[in-house]
Amino acid sequence: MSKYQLKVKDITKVFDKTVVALDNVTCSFESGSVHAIIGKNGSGKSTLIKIIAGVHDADEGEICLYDKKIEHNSPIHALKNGIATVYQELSLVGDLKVGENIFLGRLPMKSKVRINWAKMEKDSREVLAKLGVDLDPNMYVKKLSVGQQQLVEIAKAMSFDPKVLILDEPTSALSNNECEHLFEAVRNLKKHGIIILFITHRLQELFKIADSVTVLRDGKYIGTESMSDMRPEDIVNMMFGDIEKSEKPPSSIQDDIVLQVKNLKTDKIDNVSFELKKGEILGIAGMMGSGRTEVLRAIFGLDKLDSGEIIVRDKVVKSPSPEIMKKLGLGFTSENRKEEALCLNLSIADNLCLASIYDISSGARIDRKKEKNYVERQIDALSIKVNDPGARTDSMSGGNQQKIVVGNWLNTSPQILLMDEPSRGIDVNAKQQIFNIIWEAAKNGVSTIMVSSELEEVLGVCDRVLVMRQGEIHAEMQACELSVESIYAQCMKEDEVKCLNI
Amino acid sequence: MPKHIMKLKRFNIRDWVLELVLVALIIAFSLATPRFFTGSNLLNILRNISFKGIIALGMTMVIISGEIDLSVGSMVGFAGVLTAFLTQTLSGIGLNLTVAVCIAMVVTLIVAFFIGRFIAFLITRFSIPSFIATLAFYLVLKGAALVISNGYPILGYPKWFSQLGAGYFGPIPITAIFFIVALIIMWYVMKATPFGRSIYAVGSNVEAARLSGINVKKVKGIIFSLTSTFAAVAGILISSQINSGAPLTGGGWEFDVISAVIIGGASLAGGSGTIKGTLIGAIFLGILLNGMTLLNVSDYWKFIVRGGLILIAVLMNTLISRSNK
Repeated sequence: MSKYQLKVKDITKVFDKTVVALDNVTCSFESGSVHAIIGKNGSGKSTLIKIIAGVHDADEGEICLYDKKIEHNSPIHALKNGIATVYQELSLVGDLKVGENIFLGRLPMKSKVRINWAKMEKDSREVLAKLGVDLDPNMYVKKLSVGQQQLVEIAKAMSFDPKVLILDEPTSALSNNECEHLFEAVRNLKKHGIIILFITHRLQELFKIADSVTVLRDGKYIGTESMSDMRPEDIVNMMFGDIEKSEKPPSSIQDDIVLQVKNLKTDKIDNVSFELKKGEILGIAGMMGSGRTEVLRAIFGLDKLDSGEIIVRDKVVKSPSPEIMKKLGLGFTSENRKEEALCLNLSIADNLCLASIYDISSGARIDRKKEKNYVERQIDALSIKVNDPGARTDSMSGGNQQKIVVGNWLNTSPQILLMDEPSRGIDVNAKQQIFNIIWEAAKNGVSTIMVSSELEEVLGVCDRVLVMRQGEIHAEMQACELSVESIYAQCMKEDEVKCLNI
Repeated sequence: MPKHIMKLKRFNIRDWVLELVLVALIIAFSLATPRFFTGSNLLNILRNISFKGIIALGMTMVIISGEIDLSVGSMVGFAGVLTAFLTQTLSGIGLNLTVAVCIAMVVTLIVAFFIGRFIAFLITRFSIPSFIATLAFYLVLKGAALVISNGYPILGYPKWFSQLGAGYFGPIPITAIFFIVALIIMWYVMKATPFGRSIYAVGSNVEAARLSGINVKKVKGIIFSLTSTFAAVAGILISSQINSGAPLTGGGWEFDVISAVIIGGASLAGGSGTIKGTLIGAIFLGILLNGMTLLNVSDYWKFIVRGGLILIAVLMNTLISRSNK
């Protein structure tokens, strides 16, 4: 079997005209191997995959297979060019059989209206055998485990006989045992001499399955190395580079305790206790699903509390709700700004005064003057780029939308800000501005709890860091004592598969 | 950075398109028949749109909040029957007729208010889609009106009572006064109060509203209670006009009311719509029906024209919002 290559040449992709997702990336992948692509959030790995898979168009550059330039602008085109992708989210039909799912939309036919069931079964068995998977093509998919369903997805992709198979975080929903099955299948596929691209954020998996690793950082290509030469620390170094410590101002922590949380328990978190001081910036780190977001949600009264106590400045809050917590001086900025934080078809002014709607009203009337003040003061303070505050919010860029989310809460003059991923999906400058806002607020005595999946951010912005794992607080540290590697080590130490979502 | 210009006014070309079409329609009918543009006919139109117009004001809130209320038509019949029934019963036990009808009206409005409250409770507490919950009440209220009245109109109002629905204050129909007062109040509520702003927020993004500390259940509770109450007001007025509580009045009104709101530019997806738009939508429908009647267009054709009109309005709505993006 002759070797061939998938080459990515000078690919550049810019979103929203400002966010550079990929910057002149060039790399190549050889057949017969498993190539891991890794990078922290916002590194551009997903974008690169989506361009190869035909979901996005590159702004510049080209992709070559067999040294021939391939052009596609849809996943179906990509499939015809021999590039198949298995996404994180399963796309199977539960009420159809395994075989039907594999050949969905192109079932073998006997005549115009009759399906050739025998051929479908035989072909399905063949594909499944290629993976070394023992599954009955006549099973209903809804009866399979998630791991088995993932394997059916791969079988479906393989039934197109692709030259390149992309696996986008295939293990994110699987248990350890199921991961092993999947790796076994991938190793079997390797023997058939195709190019396998494997995207994951779990470092440990690389050592089990990958032959080479390609690292991206901030949209730039950092390097490709053979896995046999790499240690985990080397990869972490490539992913994070030399971490620039942003010039964090001296902390402005005061002695009064503004928030106390005791033995908080919901169905996602357990036994969470901590204190927050006035002017303190507390970071919560942890992998996806570790319960970091849920801690904020529990405090703000969004998830049902099974037990535990929330004390805001000596006042015990019996049944928290967003309304009550707002009155007590708390604010919450959600990580999903489009789904949970903004009324996109309303104006920028409306969104800046959403939480403070009763503050700008006297009696049952909105005070227009006050509203104008509130809107303008946030536009100035956060330097939101806006010509007309009456314009619809969805006309703004991601960074400006995020500032509107923050501004909405700053308008309530909060004492405690709960911020979930405040820097998600915004460019470097906007990020720095958001951090400056947090620091500035701290100086004025506002305490902040910030959840972030970006370790450098947690370290760079916060005074103190809680590391969460499986719904519990695993460690508590002062940020100045910490390095990315040490948090990383915290996660590597015991657990095999679980790791921070870096 | 230069000082930004504050423009809090929502400029929406759609509103003006509708007004232009309305003016064109008025001119067309005026040219087509001399009986159209006369004072008495215009006042007649005003009175005719007032009944459904009152309900449309509530429906505007409902639709902006992203919900729907199909029970309003049945509520009209139910409220009329309940008022007539209570009047009859109370006067039967020896109460003065005027006192009886006043108590009957107040009780009816309170009952309607709590029915709306209960509908909102079903929607917010058990996450029943408003389409289903109000469809159920569309049937329940229709049935209740038939049960109470045994299927026949209930008579026995005092003489003066018909003035509410059929009378005039000077040249102005009294019904229209009710409508105009409600219109001004609702315009103010939607435009200038935190409650009105909350309705837009809830309809635009209910999660964002909740996370901003807006009490979504309370907002929806008020919306549905008010809408049911408005429908009951319309029901009492029409019952006064026909001088009896007839169980089947208001049948099909829910769709006329929804049509007026939609023609006025509201989107069923929630988050957009205005009281002004609804007013124009209601006038539009009223003029169209009146004009067609004057031109002797058959009732059969009226349905087709109205259907086409709704389609055109929604098409305009989507096309303009697409070009706004």
